[in-house]
Amino acid sequence: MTLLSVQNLALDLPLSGGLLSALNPKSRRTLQIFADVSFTLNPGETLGLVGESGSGKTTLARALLGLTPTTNGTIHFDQTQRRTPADFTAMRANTAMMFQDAIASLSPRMTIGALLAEPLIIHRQPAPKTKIAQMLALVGLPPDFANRYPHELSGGQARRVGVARALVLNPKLVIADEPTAGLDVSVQGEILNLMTDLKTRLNLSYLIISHNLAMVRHVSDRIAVMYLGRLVEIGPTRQTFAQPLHPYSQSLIASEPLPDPRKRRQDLAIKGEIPSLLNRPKACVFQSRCPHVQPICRTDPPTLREISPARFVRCHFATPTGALT
Amino acid sequence: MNPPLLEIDTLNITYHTDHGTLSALRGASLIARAGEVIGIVGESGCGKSTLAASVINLLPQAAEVTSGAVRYKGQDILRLPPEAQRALRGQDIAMIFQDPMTAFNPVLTMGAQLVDFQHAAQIPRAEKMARARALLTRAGMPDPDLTLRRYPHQLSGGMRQRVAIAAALLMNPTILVADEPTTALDVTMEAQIIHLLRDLRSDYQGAVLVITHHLGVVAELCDRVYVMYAGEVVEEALVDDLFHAPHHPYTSALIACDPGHFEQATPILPTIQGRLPDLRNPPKGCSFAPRCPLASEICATPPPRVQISPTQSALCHKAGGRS
Amino acid sequence: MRWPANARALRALIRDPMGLMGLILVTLFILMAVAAPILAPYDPLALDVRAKLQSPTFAHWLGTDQLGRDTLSRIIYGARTALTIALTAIGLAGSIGILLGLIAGYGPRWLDAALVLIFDALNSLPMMMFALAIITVLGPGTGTLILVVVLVSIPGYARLIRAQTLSLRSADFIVAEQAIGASTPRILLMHLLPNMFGPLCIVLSMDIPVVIMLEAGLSYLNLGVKPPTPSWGNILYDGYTAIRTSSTLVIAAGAPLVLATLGFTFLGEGLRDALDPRFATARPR
Repeated sequence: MTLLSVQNLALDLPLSGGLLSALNPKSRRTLQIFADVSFTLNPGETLGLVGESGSGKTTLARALLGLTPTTNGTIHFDQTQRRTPADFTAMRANTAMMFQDAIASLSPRMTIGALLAEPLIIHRQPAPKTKIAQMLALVGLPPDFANRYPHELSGGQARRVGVARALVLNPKLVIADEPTAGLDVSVQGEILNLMTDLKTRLNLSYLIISHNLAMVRHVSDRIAVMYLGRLVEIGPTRQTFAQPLHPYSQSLIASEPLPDPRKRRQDLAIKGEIPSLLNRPKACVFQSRCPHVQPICRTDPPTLREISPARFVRCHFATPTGALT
Repeated sequence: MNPPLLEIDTLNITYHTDHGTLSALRGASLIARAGEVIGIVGESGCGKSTLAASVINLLPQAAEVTSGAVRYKGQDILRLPPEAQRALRGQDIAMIFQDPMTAFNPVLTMGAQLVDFQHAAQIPRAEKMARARALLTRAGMPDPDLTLRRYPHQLSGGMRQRVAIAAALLMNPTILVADEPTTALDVTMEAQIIHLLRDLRSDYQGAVLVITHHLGVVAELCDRVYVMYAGEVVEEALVDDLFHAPHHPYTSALIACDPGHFEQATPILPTIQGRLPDLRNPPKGCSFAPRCPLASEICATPPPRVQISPTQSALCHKAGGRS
Repeated sequence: MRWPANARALRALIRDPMGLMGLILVTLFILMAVAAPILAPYDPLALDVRAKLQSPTFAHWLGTDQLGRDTLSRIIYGARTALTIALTAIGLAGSIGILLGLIAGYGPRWLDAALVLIFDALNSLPMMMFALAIITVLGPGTGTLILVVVLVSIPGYARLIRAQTLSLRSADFIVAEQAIGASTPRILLMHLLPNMFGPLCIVLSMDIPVVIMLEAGLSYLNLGVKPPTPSWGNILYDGYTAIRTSSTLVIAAGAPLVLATLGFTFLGEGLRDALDPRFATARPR
């Protein structure tokens, strides 16, 4: 039974166009943030959502929790469709979000203790000091942290508080937006190991959003790659990294600089810039940078197809072996 | 071997803050020769940005150089009068910043700024523009003329960084300092900028200093690397030796923690236990000892700089096979 | 909830000479108003016509007015009048303005557009003219005065809070609270409003002298506080009529007005500088 199921989700934002567009509704431009996003997430699973700027991954994450309204498509959480604000409110106790800027996600004038108690109070559950201390201990922080303020914490400590707050109501799904952004490499493991440990203990599912491929590879069961608002590849992590099937995934993985001078990249895996969302290429969104582009890519939008068991790719030429020509 | 273009000699810099006096750099030394790409790598609080700022002489007000020197072609630039320092900046010593947006004036076109950067050159304006155009082409800009007419906000981050690199090279500086040049960029753009920097080496006879926390960037770009921790240079080595035969425990731990370092995915990632020492009260002995797996009693005394080979040294009691 | 920024801000305020002066003057003013019954040597309403228009003497430190009332006592009680009116008016205006500003900033765009239209309309009225118009209709008095001040001040607070709300509503910690399931009132009152106290304090403290001056001005025109209640404006008027005989009254009423206005203005500016997040100390990276 899937925990989260997303079908053809799309989000278009209206662009304010000034007086003329206010007078003529038909001329109002919209900016497509993402479209045709479909995937599932099972209980106890970690899905890594990777992409660069303009991929729409952060907005997608917020849309999944109903924090941003969507234009099309369906979201099913816990077997129930979520469409109205009331539907999303009903799932608040079962979902949680961890933010990229951990300190900024904590209300500046509240103590850590008050912040951890917030979810409990809002959902009318008891919030005794013992519970707060228990949550702090769960993430490896001493109980006196309850009296501190967000600006007094280091980045790593704030992230731990973020984890604690996310778990206070025992959710089923935690969405973590760039859980290691801004953290030194030597301490990234602390937060990731904590998340992994809690996942097994509390049977959590994670949706981890990141642009850091190397990190995501270690913590996800499956990986979904987004480019310019489209899901271009999704599949088990190990196989996707060993043999990416979409040209973008291939170049993304090939572009990452490795900490080994003997593995220097000699040729550039990808050229060109990510186009602006306002100039999103028609049909296949990757056509402007794809080394294997063909005429059909400019006319026929590719669909997400199952190329091999559990591996979905959005490309006309994808094959199970990864070869594209 | 060429004589050093840049020599940082036992530099000590402290910051006067509301919370006390912080020792940001403690006896840091570095040498850069013509044609070399030097990497300075470390995590937050290691002092690498302070080091970069001292080379370009843009230390903040609260910073005080308590001892040591920064010698450019033999001359201590920290003790030059301000006009002389300013003359060096941009001409002899150029810098590329982490955030390409703030490096440029938002109300001037790129062309105007690139011409302005060449203000010290005594050539007609048209020629300055031509040089700018040529460098932009060299930097891989698809349409240099259009770029010259654009304003900074009209260009993407990757484009701006390319222009920033072109701008830095305009006056053919002897030293190019790149402070986290790819940190603000997407992975695919990062790869392109790395390639660009590697490519431009052949045109460029000076020395390049790349300051970063990203080991991958160091491995891709640099010839020699300095590893910094808590204000000190803890290891210095050729890039291959650094990654395959490190002699300082911090270097080994840092490499081990890098997620890109693993062949296979591992569910539990290594970390370095403990915290950075408080630099308001710098430790008397080895700074890394509290977190070091090899630490013993002798580490409470200041570690010696052990010369492992002519090109590699480590600030450690246990380096070079000693116990 | 404690205010962690306040200790730092207070220290910064005291370090600034202008801010310190403002703090001292305002404290004295408040003390005077609150402790009036203890400080005033005489009943401010007590008549003693035989002792009228005296210059400062040992018995009457600031002399007396035309009806023999002790000027010093009237001045001290005048502070109470000024403070009461200012606090009431600004308290009311502030509360309504904050509420409207929160709604405008956080609610749907059409509501925001409508409210901003109302604010702009109210803002375009010149305060004095508007005051005189209302007084003509409703008659002079403390109540009318407060009504005028409230109506004219609401847009200022509302716009400030609206601007702050607009900028904070997309902040991560607000989205985080939404993700937890916090209701809109909870977000507005517990998370948005407390983070606006800085600019709010500044505007409030800068508005108090404006209200004091308005009250004094209208009272001077006999359109404000009704005699015999002591008000600095009333006393100024009395002093004006008696200026040929004794200049003490004018000075005695004018001086506290000037000092109170200066004090609050200095305090407001000092607060603005003290709460400015310029205190990022240089940290080595």
